[in-house]
Amino acid sequence: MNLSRRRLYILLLFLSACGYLWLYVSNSGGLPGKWGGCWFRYLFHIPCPSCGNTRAVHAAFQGHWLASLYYNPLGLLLAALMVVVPIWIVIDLLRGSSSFLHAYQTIEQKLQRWTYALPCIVAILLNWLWNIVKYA
Amino acid sequence: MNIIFVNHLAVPIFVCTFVVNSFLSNPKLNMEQQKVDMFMMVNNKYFPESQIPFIRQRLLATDENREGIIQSLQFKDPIIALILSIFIGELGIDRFYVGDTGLGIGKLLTCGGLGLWSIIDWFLIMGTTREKNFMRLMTVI
Repeated sequence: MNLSRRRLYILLLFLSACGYLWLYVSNSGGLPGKWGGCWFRYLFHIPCPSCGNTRAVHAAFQGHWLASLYYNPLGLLLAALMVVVPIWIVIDLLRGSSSFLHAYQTIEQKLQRWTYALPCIVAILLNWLWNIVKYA
Repeated sequence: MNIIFVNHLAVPIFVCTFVVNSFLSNPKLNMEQQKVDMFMMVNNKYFPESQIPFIRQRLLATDENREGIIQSLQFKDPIIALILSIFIGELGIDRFYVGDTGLGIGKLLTCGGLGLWSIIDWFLIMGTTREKNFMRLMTVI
């Protein structure tokens, strides 16, 4: 990963802001039309591995952990990231440190090894199958 | 007869002088220009256009011992990255391919940034791939 600290922090803060904006929009009725935020589902009528994440994050923020797990287990991870990442980045920026960047690079390097990547890929595929069974 | 003899000898003598001179003036053997040109010709599609003169310059100044490592480097193809981005970019596979695992996970978890990030990446991914290849080469030379 060769993203500079500044670019990475700006990108992730922007993505977090977009995430919260999307939660707000979807909570107040969603976008007009059939588009629910997933091209994959819109084009192929098959849910993608992350379909259900919006509902899962909503449920997680309201404390309904089991419902969140049912909608999509990845939603819990996403909700945790949406809370932790912006706070960590803001603390980093205030203190002038790069602890988040180091953690990000370490995790990224580990995930590029097959020993860590393979279980993750299998878990994502199993979750995708479950998603297809649930939402198709 | 004398003129023909001199003419026949002129070229080999010139070549020998050139070779000896180049060895004397360059005791640390750098990569030969011909090999660098060949490398650039085969691999220039993998690097950002703006960096090609710089890469060429750096390669010419690189120690000959590093040639094997440089030749064995495997670069990511920007065209493959673009194809992955168009067809399965929403799952973040294009970002995983270029080595941006963190952003790949980000795309995967957000349905490709609600589809928008996927579309933006159609235009960015080739440049990103070339940048990544450039960074990879720079770690070696």
